[in-house]
Amino acid sequence: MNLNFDEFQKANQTGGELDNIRIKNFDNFQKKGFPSKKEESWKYTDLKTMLYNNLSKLEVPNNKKTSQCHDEWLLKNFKHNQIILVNGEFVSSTFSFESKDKIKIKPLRVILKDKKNFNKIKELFDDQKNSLTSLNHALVRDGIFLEIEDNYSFNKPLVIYNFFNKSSENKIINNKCFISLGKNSKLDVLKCYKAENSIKYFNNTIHHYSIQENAILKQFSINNNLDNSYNYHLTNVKSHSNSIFENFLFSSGSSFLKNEIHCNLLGSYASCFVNGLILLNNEQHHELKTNVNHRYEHCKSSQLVKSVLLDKSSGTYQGKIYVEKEAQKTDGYQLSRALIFSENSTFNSKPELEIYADEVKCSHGSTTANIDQGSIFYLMSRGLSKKQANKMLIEGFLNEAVETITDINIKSLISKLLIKKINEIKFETNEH
Amino acid sequence: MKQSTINSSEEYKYGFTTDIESIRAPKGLNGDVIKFISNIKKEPRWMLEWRLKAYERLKNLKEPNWQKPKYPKIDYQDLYYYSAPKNSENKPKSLDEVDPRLIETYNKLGISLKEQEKLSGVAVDAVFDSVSVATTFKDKLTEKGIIFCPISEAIQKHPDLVKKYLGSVIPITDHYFATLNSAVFTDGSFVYIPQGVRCPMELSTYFRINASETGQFERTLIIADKGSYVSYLEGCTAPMRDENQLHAANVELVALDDAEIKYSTVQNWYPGDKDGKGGIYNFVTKRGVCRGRNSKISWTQVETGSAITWKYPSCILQGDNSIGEFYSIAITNNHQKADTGTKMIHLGKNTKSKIISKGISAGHADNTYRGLVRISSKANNSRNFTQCDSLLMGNECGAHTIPYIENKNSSSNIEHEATASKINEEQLFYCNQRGLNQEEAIGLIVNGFCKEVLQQLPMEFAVEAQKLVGISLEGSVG
Amino acid sequence: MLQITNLSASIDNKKILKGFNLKIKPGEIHAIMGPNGSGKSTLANVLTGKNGYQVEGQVLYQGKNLLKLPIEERAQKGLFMAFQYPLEIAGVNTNNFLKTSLNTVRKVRGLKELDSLDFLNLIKTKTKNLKIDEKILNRQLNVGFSGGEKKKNEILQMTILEPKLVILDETDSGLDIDAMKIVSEGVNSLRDKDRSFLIITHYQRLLDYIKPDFVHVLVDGKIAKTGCGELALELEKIGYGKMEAEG
Repeated sequence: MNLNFDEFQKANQTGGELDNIRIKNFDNFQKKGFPSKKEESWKYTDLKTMLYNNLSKLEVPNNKKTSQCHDEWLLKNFKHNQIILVNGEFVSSTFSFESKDKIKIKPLRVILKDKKNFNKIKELFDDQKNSLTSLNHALVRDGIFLEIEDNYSFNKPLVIYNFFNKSSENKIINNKCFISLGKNSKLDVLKCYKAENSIKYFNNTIHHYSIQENAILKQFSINNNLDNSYNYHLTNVKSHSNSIFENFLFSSGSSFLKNEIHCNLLGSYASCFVNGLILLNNEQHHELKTNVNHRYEHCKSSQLVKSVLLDKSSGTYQGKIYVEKEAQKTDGYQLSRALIFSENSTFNSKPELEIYADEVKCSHGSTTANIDQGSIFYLMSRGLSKKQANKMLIEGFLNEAVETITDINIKSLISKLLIKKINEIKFETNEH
Repeated sequence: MKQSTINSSEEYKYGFTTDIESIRAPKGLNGDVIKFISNIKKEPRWMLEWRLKAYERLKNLKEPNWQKPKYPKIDYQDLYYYSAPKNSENKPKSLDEVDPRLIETYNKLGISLKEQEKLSGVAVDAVFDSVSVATTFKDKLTEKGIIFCPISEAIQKHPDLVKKYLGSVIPITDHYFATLNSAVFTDGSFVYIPQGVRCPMELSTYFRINASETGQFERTLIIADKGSYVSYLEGCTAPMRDENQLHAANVELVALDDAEIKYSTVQNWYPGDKDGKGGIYNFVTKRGVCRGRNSKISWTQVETGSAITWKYPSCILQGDNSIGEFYSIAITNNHQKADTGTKMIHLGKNTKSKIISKGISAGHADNTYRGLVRISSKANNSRNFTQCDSLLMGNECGAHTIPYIENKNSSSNIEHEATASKINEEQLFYCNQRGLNQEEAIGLIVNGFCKEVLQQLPMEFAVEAQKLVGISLEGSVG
Repeated sequence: MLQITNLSASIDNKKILKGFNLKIKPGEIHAIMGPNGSGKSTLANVLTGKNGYQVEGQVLYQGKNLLKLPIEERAQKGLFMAFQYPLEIAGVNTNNFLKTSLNTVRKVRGLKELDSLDFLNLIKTKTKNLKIDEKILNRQLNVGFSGGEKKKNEILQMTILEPKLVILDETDSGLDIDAMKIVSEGVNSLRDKDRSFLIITHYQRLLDYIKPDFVHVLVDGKIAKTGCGELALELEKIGYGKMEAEG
């Protein structure tokens, strides 16, 4: 691996505070290296070994502009606003359905270079969750800076396209996405990912969402076709009083994908829903980690994660509900259910409750099992082939997660993508 | 003045010290102390070598620090590793020969040996400090070929069995406290149930920590040969003391084909005072292996005492069709801390495990369930069911659930459920309305909450445990 | 239609069917009665192809060796079993399931697959005829259904798939009189000179509503006695014990 930081540092000097922040963070990263099994939160994902085995030529991208992308990648028959990122860099944005004066959108690189604006996001660089966050602080070059004023509801969803073309091959891409949603405002964000020619790269992204009082932010991440890529997506959410954060994750593409979602409920009556599905085959390795911190009274959180593991794939769900002493009347719920299809697949889960308040209602459940042979028999006795029966059961099983989506258009979009994905799966017909 | 005496004795009923003279090894941990222990026990050469090997290993180990309850650093050189009542040199042949003051101590604890002998048919191997001084019902057991004796005696009389099984479940290379135990263990129980024998009575040992500043390092080894059955009870109470005391026992269970071992514990050691001063550190390693087909190991524990309880009675399900069970009640009050749970390692086919854990946290206490369920890729058709419930009382305590669930087998199922909630106020109200006071009502409701686990205990223990549940929570709700 | 010759079946080395013989011609209704454990459900499971049985003997269905066919091909060729305990399958929508199932069967029979609209019309008529609440179509398959609703759903599936040979495995158990009427009306409406039925039951009462051509008494894995409808009434009076003694 050749993470030539000095060269990067020279090419990206701003003359401001950021220069030192980068140096300090790269030092932090070098001390720790990529996360490995020795760290509790990476217990089930040895990223260090994984990158060493698969991306040994990993390097920091140079400064050449490479904004090539293809129109056929854009969603059709689905009215939306859009931001396009190519190789992690901000290329364009259109908000055709919205009042432009309510929205402030900037490429993050512009903010990073501007001393006054940089102060607004400086605190984001304090986060030191793991060595990857340090690495991101050190090497971040671009991303999204989006501020939405108070009392503005979006008419159409915002789709953030993340395209990766050939010039991302063997690159480590570090970017950040910052979205701040004003009081009483409302926004749906749909994140789509697409890589050209199944190229290999490592994408390390940090998302920061700030949701003010009474605002509603819904995020849908659709990760269904990044064949060979390696991804770490960290999302930090600050939810203020009476706000709603709803997150849906479709975790299915990518060789490796770890999503880590941290929700801080910073005001009473805030709520947070993190649901998702993990559908893996071949040798894919995906992990979802959620961490919900209840700090005030009357907040609500819930997670539903459904996973299907085929072939030699491996899936992990680590979910923690943390309830501080002050957070009385907390309602916390979590359920993880997994189907292990093949004798070579694995599912690990670590649901965790850490509770310091007494007047709470918290529970979690986790099941892992094989597919019910009785159900297969029942469906086959009605004329379905084993393959059809399997697909129907998988779809039915995963649909329960899709059903949690409250936006009808997005639900139907994701539902279609799921069916398409299930139909692409080749089932080994291991008849007995 | 008188008033305060009464109060403190109510706070900890079993807080008293008997002043029997003790023989002590010099303070500190080194090769000479280990030789001293081995020598005073008249151990064969191989045993001493075994201990020294563990001690060598220990030098390269560090204390674990991943657990939730943190504790002040222990100075291992400032502890006594051996102390024994002096007149144990000439062991009593019957109860009549036992030091009357010792008998008196047991009577205060409510375990009159004579009474038990007559009434309940329980054979008691009483460990007072670190040496077994009285064993009853020996004849009846000998008749069946059952060996139930202090492990120091087994080392001398049954070296083949000890050599074969000691350290076979908890190797001397295990974690810090287990290895420490292997180096310096003083005494404990040894049980061997021969092939096809059903042990006719509950075997029982009362441990007591007595001499000041003595770490307790018991070692228990239970072997159930093919087709045999044994139920073993371990109960603990300890006198009141100011300095913290370390207790690092090792318990090893081996069940061969079609054998069953039931191991029940009621632990009520001194928990420290209301401000968290004093109390026992209970860092115990308990592990059982279902080595044979169709074997079964069942752990039941009621943990109400100790300043810090840190233990995970575990089952390695090696034989096909073997079964592991873990039933636990952990009650923490005042400043107590508990980090307890189990590990179920499924290796054989058609293995089953069940975990029922009830945690109750009150005062400023912190109560953690930590558990691992692992189904390996060869353990076809295995099952696990886990239920962890936590009850919180008051706003200064914590309750945590940290399960690790790992499934590598597509024909196996794991089900895990956990809840955390406050004591149900409507139930409290209902009980109050029927005339129960607050503490009685809590005792009743908490006992109901724990019922599934209490039911697992043998009769003799169940009654005591139920009382203990109530007593442990006294003063927890204003 | 169906010819069973010297059929034996065991599960976990326990022999349950011991040389069972039966011949069903097109249009006939046969009832099989017998005490618990006589092998009634095993017969149904073996005919539909459930895994886990060691089977010997011969079963010809429409002249072909049935035992060699996988479960779904038997179904596609017109063999239908109404389950004694229909399974609850969470997440699978009843309507979607019925449509997929029907279209698979139609495809095999060389018929055009139905589009959503045609299917909707079909299912509306069928549910109405059977007095089944349409709402169950939008629920998950059998999840949270009452016992009666589950059995009615089985009959609904039967009328939609239009099978050639229907096996009713203790369909009457746990049904009240009204549900029993609906179930038997469903069955009777399908009576046809080309369609045969095999009714497996413990009690005679279902046979008040569906008149069989033949009644067989199954005892200890084989047929102990065969007769016409009256045999069932006789059985109700004297009980199986007597029959076992005779057999």
